[in-house]
Amino acid sequence: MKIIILGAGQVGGTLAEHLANEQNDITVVDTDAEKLRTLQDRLDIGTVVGGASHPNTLYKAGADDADMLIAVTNSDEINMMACQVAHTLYNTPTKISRVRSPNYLAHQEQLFNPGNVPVDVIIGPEQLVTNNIRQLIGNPGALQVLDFADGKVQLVAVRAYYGGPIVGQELQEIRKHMPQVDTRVAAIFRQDRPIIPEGNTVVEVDDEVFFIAARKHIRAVMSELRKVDKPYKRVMIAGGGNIGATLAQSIDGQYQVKVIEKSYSRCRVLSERLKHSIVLCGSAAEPQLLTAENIENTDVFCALTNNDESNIMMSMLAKRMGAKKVITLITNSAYAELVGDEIDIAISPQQITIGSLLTHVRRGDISNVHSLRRGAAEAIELTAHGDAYSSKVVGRRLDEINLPDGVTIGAIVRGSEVLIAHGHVVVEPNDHVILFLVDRSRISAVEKLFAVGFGFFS
Amino acid sequence: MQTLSDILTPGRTVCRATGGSKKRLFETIARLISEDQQALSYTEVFTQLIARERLGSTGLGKGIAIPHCRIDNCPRPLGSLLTLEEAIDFEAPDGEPVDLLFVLLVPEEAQQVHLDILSHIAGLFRQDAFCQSLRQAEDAAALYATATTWTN
Repeated sequence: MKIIILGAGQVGGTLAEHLANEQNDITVVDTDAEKLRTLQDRLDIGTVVGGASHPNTLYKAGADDADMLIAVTNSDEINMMACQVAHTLYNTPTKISRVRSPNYLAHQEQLFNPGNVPVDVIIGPEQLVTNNIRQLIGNPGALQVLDFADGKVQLVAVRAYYGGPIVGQELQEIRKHMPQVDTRVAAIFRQDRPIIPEGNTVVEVDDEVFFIAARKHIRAVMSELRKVDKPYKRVMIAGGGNIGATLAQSIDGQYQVKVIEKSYSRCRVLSERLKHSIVLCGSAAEPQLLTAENIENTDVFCALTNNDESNIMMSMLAKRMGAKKVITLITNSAYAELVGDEIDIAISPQQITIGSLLTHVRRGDISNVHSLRRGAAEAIELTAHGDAYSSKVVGRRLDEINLPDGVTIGAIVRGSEVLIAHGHVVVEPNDHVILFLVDRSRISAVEKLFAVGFGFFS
Repeated sequence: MQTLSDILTPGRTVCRATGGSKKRLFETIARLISEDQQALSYTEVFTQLIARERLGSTGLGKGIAIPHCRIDNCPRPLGSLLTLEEAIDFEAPDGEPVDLLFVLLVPEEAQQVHLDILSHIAGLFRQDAFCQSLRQAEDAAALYATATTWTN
């Protein structure tokens, strides 16, 4: 596919890196020639220097031939305008835009359609990050909780600990322990190396286990792998910006929430928006404030300011002062790799955004892509189309499907029914199949496997 | 269907079309068909062809592709035949760029007869001699004549 990426920032750059290796023809546009040069040194891509929404820049980037435009510059307005220009002048089939401002997002349905602002897919990173954190707060002890099929199925990452009944035993024992719960372990990472689990794989302490189960079974499966933490009650949020405020609003009333925000005027806005949460004016880097606000009884401390360094330091402070769990927003991926045990969960907005973008870039009918382990692994949900003749998947038992190495099928969602992947399950047309790839380089093979053959109409 | 003349017209036959990419090619096809058939909209033909391609390439291999999809309001199966000035990347299974295309649009209702037409066309285009004579046609009239008078 010919894809134009507008903006060579963190998201644009990482996306180019993902896609350049997958037989795509990528052109990246930015006003900063230096940034483009650095990117081009590493990747086989075309670059164009210029204003991303200008017709002549888009033309130079090959908009006439492009299958897709992905607008991820720092400006919402430039992103939207670029989509409009591409639509009107170049008839670009798929236009994706990042839009940050909640002001635009509040009118998403009215604004963004072919007759008005012609954007096919809107990516709102703040909303994605907020949902991600809310899931983590709702599932104590999980490192990652990812939704598939509107949340009917979830993929959960946990670290196995002493005391989990299955730790030190073979995976197939889970079934004996909990005959009424069905789950599938999709992958295990042991000292950062992937293991494709079999029934006789023995779970070891410190393994990072990814399992798939229906949402109602998640807690039961987690309890097999570790002593499950009590449901969280007290949440402290440092930073009342976009993400902090949206998160507080979405859990307002369900938890005891305290929001710490520096700016007095922002505090006033927040306290009007939040009915049950307590808004505190001050800095979460102040030990006195943390002590006064009972940090030692806080279940989760979320550092969500727009400054990585502050977030990391505040989190370390909060953890040392007794917060049970800390969740930290870190945009710089180098920092994310640095942080150790003091930070329980590092959240990377780019990584979350990339997954969401890839959902629309990949070939096939894909409803979800989650980029995992700093982009090395991937979990995807795709719809199987065709019939036994036109598809290599439909009409076959799961144990007959020739999966690429390092790929496992975790579950199938058929209408409202969740089927955990067992060898005898037969794939039907329009099934949503959830796959785990320990190595994302396998994605092309997965796309080919699920591609419909010649005799399929639409 | 006995011959391609049941679904193909001279007006929907183009010899050595220009346009260097899949996207521009689909624009050409959509324009050709929507101008020929008033009932069909340019946007719908374009969007449906692109959407079908997204699920899997309609490339047959050896430089041939048979893009096909269902279209609302399509009165009956419609074909369009094109040879290209320059071969373009089509993400075909064999990776070969494509320079010979037969487009097939069919009505919305799923019918076995559409699959039969498709497999008949595919059968024709799997014959090297047929494709070779199509590629040698110098103009649209010759192309149409070759396509509709071919006998195995």
